[in-house]
Amino acid sequence: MDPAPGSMDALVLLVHEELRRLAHHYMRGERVGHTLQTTALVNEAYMRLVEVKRIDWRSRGHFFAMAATTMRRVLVDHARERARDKRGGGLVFTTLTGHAVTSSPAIDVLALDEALDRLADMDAQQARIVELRYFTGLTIEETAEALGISPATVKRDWTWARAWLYQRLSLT
Amino acid sequence: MTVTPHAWTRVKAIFDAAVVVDSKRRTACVAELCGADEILRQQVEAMLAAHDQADTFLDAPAAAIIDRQASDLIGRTAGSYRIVAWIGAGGMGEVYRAHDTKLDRPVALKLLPPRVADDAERLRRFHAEARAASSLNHPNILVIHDFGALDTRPYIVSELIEGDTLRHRLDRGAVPVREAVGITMQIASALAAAHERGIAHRDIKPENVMVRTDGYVKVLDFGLAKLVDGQPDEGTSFGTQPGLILGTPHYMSPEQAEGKQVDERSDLFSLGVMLYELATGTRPFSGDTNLGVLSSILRDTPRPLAQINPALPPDLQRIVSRCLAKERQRRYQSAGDLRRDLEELEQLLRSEQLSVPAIPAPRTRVEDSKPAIDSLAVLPFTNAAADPDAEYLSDGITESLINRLSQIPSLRVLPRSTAFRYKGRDLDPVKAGRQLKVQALLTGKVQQRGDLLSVQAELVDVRQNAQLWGDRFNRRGVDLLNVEDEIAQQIVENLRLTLTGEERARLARRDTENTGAYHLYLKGRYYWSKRTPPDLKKSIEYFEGAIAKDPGYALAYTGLASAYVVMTVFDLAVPTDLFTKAKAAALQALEVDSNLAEALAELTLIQGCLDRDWESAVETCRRATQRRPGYWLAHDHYAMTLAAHGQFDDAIAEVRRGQALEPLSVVVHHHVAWIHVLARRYDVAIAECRSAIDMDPNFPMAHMWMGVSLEQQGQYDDAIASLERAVALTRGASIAVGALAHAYASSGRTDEARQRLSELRQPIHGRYIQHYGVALVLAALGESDEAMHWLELAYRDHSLWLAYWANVDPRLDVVRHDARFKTLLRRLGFQ
Repeated sequence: MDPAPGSMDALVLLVHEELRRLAHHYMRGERVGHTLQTTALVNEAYMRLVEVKRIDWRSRGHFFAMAATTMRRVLVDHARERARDKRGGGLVFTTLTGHAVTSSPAIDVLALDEALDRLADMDAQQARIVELRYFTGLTIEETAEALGISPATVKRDWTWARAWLYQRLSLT
Repeated sequence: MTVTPHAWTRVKAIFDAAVVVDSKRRTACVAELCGADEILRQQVEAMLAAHDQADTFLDAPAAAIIDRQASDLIGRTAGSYRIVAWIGAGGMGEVYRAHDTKLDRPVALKLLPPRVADDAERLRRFHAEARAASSLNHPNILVIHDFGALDTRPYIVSELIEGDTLRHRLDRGAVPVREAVGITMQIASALAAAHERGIAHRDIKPENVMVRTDGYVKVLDFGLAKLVDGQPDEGTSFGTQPGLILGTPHYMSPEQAEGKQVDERSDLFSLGVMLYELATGTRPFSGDTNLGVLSSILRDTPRPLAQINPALPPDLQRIVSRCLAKERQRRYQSAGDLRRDLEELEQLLRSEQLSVPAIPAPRTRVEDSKPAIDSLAVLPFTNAAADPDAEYLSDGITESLINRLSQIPSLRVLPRSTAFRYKGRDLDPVKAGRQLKVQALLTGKVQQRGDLLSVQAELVDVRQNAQLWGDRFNRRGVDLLNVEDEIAQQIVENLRLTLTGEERARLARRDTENTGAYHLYLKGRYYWSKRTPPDLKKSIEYFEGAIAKDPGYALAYTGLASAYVVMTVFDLAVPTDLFTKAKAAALQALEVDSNLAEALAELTLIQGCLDRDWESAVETCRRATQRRPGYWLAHDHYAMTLAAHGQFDDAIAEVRRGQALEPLSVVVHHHVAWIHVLARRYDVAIAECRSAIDMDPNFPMAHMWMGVSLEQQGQYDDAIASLERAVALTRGASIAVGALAHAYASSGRTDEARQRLSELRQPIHGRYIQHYGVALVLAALGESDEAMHWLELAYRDHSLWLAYWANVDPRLDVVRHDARFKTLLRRLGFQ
């Protein structure tokens, strides 16, 4: 079951498959208004891959770093699929505070994805930080550790990237 | 104002500095840092404003939400069904996931448009028809549970399928040809069953077919079209009243398009349209408007498949063209005929895939005025000797001819179990041939007197009631193999089949050159198939005899392995010893022929029970099914292994594959029931047991699974009656007694349970006790410590029941939370 040691591709593939499977499992046939917390999903994938399949990651951060990009892909694919099937309703992001959905406006998954691509064109590291924070729920410190940069840099880039994305999404 | 790329770094630097400054001093700070660059200042200010407005934007990690006005039906209750989620909608109404509060299971609830309730008589007829289709218990037909009405809207409650509609699948384009054929075959099989009861579907289209995640296909909504159309049987209002159009016209038959009377053959046209679309990704008939599509259906000949994809086999074209004939007399006349052609094609595709390089098998036949014969039944040769013991010879020759002739791809040979139903019956060949839907029939007689062997065989063309060939072989000595060779040769010649060199070689292949060994092997198989303890012992002697005469006889080793494996389920000896012997024999067989599917199928059980190496077990079954997809037992053993791991959908698909190969075998029914008991689908298990009992009322395992299923459904009296029968028929096998005592215990008849239990625990000299059976009873009586003790004994002895049942056996649910039990499962290699 273990991919060849050092084979990053194999690991990425594994994470990708696991997340895809879990997301599919949770999203399909769910009632309208159902929310899915990506962090819960990533944690479940982590548990399954590490504790059940005994795959040894260099560190927890390493796993989450890998999962972030994949999680984004999985959700975007889901949103695309749903966008084609109008009856099922679209997929959007919302903010969860505790267990309640706040009244803050929902974010269009596909628009965010596109904006993140543009951000990456300008500054790849910033886009990466957003992925790690937003799709797997890493803290500033954890993000810094995963990227091998200082927490202060993460905090600055994060603040900027967030504002930039917000501006872009509210203008389009 | 957005940040321009070339200013990006500078804007960000000033932003970084300003954003941490108190908002009152921020403007001044920005002005100072930007100096005279007004554009720069504006960009920074815009970003700072965005920052302020963003508030908690993206701060909490993503939470995906399905954005749609929540249906007001969610949460409501219809009858005993609580609606929990919206699944989809179509022309026929909306579908919800619901919870059956009475039986505590998930179901699908389809709400129909209110208008269909207007005609009570039609609604009643629809209910009757849908129920009739569902009650066929066909694996490819959606099971209907209930009907009802919510407010004014009628609804249908059915099993819940996890998967996609075929429409969804087709949206992604063509599917690989084998998959297309497989899907169509399953639909044809569903239609064949329904048509036999006079139920036409009338609306076969991709929206009405679900493909489960395991590849299983389910046909939905039998008879619904007639109800929702709002039109009587004569057809639909298409074309004349476009306003009434429901769904798509692409799959309609010409007679439907014209609003004429519709019958079963209309479904076959629709299925042909789907097969075309599956294989090519495009529809055979199209038009800009619905009317355009209808006129194309009536007039156009679809583009040949090869024009769209040259790799598609010509046989597929032949099948599609026959489905799409405009006149229904020129189509397949039954779904069964279509399914058979698809089956053949599937086998052909399979063999092409396996043989490398893939050269298309030439299927040329000698052209003649008479069309060549392409289907044959070998009926059991009769034993004309006074000695009933010589039956092994007549059965053996029959079986061996079936095996050999099945190797010819252009000839459909009836499976063994179907042919053997005719054993000992006197019949009119023409009538039998028609009943079996074959074009030719081979019958024969075998007689052995001293060392003179006489075999008489006759080949009849059923269509013309004419003898094609007949001969009598009188041979000295034990020249059985040559006789079989000659008969097979004669059949090939007289049916005018042209074989490739490889096919010819396969046909002539002998597993042994030693006719003495062959006779002994046939005797071994004969006793093995009876499956009673004394017969199994006898079969072992014969297999050993065959091996002594030909130490390179792989099939004889396999027979030996199989006999030992079958013995482990009875009370004959310690399973560890039997499995050890079985393993040695299976490995010997594989040493001679490493791809022998029969040996691999036995080895897989040994790897599960003795080695507790499930990974290898799965690998071995997979190899067996790949090496010989037509070998039913390989599919059955694979299914058991999957079921032991709780992979029920896959297990069911696999065991049904085995069943498709040997549809009339009681053993297959027993295996199908076994899997369904573990999957806790007791209704299906009971139906399978009924079929098995219809065939052979004395087949013990059918009564056993019937009893276990009934018990799980709470029908204790009937369960106990069935299990008592199983005990009687197995002459008190401990696993059956255990099941019976368990049923007593769960029905509250504790005294009787204890009585049986104490009998079970009495050691009888020379008899092994299946500890697993004892543990079941103890568990039901609440004595978990004792139950664990007996499970440990089963573990020590490598019990097959423990390995294949404990992980999912519903009767052990009471100890499932016990840490010791969990540990035991882990030691057995689960999780």
